[in-house]
Formats: sequence, structure tokens, C-alpha cells
Amino acid sequence: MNAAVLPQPAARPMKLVCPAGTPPALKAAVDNGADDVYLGFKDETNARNFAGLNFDDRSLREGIDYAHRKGAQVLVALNTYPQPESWRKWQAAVNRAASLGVDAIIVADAGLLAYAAKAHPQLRLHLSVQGSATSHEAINFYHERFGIRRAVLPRVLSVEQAEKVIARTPVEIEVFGFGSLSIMVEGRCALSSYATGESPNTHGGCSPAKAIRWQQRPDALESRLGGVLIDRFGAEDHPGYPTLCRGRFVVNGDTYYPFEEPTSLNTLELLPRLQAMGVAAIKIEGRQRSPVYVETVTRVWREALDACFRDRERFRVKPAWQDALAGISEGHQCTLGAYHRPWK
Amino acid sequence: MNAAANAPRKLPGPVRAVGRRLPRMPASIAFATALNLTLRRKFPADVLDRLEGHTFAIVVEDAGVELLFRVRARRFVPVAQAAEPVLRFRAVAWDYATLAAREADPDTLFFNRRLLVEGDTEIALLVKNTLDTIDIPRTRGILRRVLRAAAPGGG
Repeated sequence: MNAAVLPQPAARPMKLVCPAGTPPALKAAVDNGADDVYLGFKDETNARNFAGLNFDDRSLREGIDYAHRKGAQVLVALNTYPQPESWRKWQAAVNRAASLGVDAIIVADAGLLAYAAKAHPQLRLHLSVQGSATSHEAINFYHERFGIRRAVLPRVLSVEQAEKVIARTPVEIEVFGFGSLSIMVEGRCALSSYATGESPNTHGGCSPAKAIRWQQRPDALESRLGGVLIDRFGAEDHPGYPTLCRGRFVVNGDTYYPFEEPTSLNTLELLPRLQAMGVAAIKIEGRQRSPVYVETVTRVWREALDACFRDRERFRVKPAWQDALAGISEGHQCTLGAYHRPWK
Repeated sequence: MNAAANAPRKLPGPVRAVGRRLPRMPASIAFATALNLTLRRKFPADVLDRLEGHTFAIVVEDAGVELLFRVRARRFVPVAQAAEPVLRFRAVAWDYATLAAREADPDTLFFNRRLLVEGDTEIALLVKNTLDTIDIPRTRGILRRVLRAAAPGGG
């Protein structure tokens, strides 16, 4: 058992970690105050492997230059799981990231962490949310074994549970602050593979676009994944991303969302608490989203993080921030997710 | 910003009535020409190759206009008729303009049912992500100024 680390007064605002699926999104993040920008290569080594998205070597090199000139850091997500026949591809991705001069890689697979730690000892390692480490014992194991410097907490912990983890690890803790929610068994979810034959953990996408069909019927807009009806939206409904975990199904005669409602996480109101308990960084979801989304979310969260750091006691969520975020949220409903579970 | 968060702004009803009576081809020719001038060179060759032979339809709901074009030999070519385009977009002129000016988020318009997309999702995603990658600051600057001037209280 590690000695508890007492919470210290924050010496700097929590870091703001923003997504970028394209170079303009990277610029939007950097220009609007992101401390870290995370992104991926154009293949299944990352969990947003979508057509036309992500970075090749040239655009990544330019992106790193741009970010570094403005004092931001670039993190490369290599957060899917290599298979025995594809190991070399993931290994090569680690080498590419290191040779291009990224500031850290975000990794889920223990084998890949071991490789990176051995082959590139200077390269900063972050444990991905896909690593699904929810306890300080697990995080400290990754720290002792591979030297990880930061861990992203899965979105299954309450605030109290996250606080206990932070108090018992020397590793920086990053938590999700905003974005679309999924069923939240990160790194262990194979649900969509039942409909598509592909798992997000190995192919880099919950709902591969080739398996998605949107169809406008006379009475409703239907979304299907691999032929499975995910949801039907009437004229007043707001469609969301067609993932199985956010599907509406008939269960024992009732039609509802048995896994997860299509909502967005928004933890602005928790910022004083998160800062007080020693959270090092706040992550914004959405590498698949547009530069406009990145610009809006980054601007709001930069302002909020700075306001919280200036005066935690007097921090209040501004209605204008909530309006801006609600306007770009999936599902038009924001929740605190697992951070707030009254029954816990 | 965010222009998408505002209520949709529609062209006056008579515009739609006139638009429906106009021949489709001249509008499609003008649109394809504009695409070739502004976007073609910015589109990666491998993306144009993946779009090769496919026909796209852009329906401007409030103008009563459907623009049709095909990708051929890495160029945008106007089309008079298409039985089944690979993708059909439906939105009002204002929303297309805010998207092009990068004032609106396409997913938000989609969640709000203001941008309807019918057809091949993979190609739709490829097109959306490629457009997100392209920087055309001068064209976007002009569009933003036009939008400001057209907005109520603008000028």
C-alpha cells in the first residue's frame, strides 16, 4: 500500500486536453487555449479510425511545430489493442510518434507500453482510458512497471472514488470533462462487434461507417448498424451517433435505452471539486468532431478552468458557457455521468 | 458564433417558388465550377479517386434547388439527372453558408435535423472529414462577412 499523498493547493490551472481530428481542429484547440492536443494516425492504431480523419507524418510534423510555437503539447493516441498478426504496425506507430517528436503517447495495451518504455525511454507515456485502470493499485502497477506519467480515468468512477485514486498515486490523473458518453467499459467493450464484426478495441471504431445506414421513412428517421435497427427518430427527436450502447430497444415489451441514454458529459459544475482533489488534467472528447466544435469547447473550458483557478470558492458556471456547450452536444442533454451517482 | 445554435433562417417563400421553376443545369454548372475553383486543388488526390464516378446531390430546401455533380478525372462535373446519387444533402441556404464559413458544426446541424444526409455513410464521413481538413481562409472570410451583413442587425 502506498502512502497517501495529501492534496496540495493547486499551483497551476488543471491542464486542458483537447481533441483534434484534423489540422484545422488542432489549430482551433491551440489558438483557444488548449494545453495539450491529442490526435491519432490514419489507421486502426487509434480509437477514432474514420475515413478522412487523423494525421499523416507531414501534417503531424506541422501540427507539432504549430503547437510548440504556441506553448502547447501534442499527444498521440495509440489506444487500441494490437493483435499477434498486427503487432509490428502498432510497434511502428510508437516509433513514428517518437521520431516525429510528440510530447507523449497515450497507450492502452500493456505489451505496447512495455515496448515503448524499453525502446524510447525518454518518451512520456500516458495510460489511455482504454486501459480501463480504475484503481490506484492498477495505475501504480503501470507506473512502476512502465513509468507512466499520467493516467486517464475511465468514466465509471464517482467523484469520491476518483478522489481516493488520486490520493494514492504519484501518477498525474486526467479525467473526462466534456463530450459524448458511451457505455463506459472502456477497453473492454465488444458490443458493436456483434453487429459489425469489428471491435473498437482492435479496429478503432465503435460503429464503422460502412456498417451504418440512415434511412428516412415516412414517419421516422431510422439508424441501423450492420442491419440492426438502433433507433427511430420522429420529427421532434434529436438523432445521435448510431452505437449499439446508445440504441433504443424493446425489452420485455418496453421500448427504451437499456444501456445508456444518448447524452453528453458536462462537468463544469464539478471543476472546484476536481481542482481541490488534485486532478491534473481535464479531457475533452471529440476527435471526430469539426474545428468549430473544438473551437467552441476549448474556448469555454479555458475560460472556466482559469476562472476556477483564480478563485475556486467563488467559481460559478456562467449560463453563456452552458449555452455554448449545449448547442454542440450530442443528445442535447448533459449529465454528470458516473461522477454523480446518488445511489453510491 | 455559434451560428448553428440560432433558429434556421430561411429564404423568402417566393425565392423557393422561383427556384423550382429554374432549369437545374445552369445552377449545377455554376456550383461545380465554384467547387473546381475553390476546393479541387485542396482535395487530396486519393480522396478524389475514392469519390471517382460518384454523383452527389445538394438540395437547397428554401431555394427549391437541387445541385447535381459527379467526380470525374479528379474534377467536379455538373450532371443533369441522377437516378440515385451516392449522397444527398438537404439543408437551407443559410445553414450551408454557415457550414462553408466554418461558423456551424455539421454534427450539431445533423443532431438538430437541419442537415439531412441520405446515402453512403462512409463516403459522407470521408467528405465531411476532408472538408474539415481544408483551410480556405480567404473564401471563408468573405462568406463570414456576407453572413454578418445578411444577419438581422448586420450590415
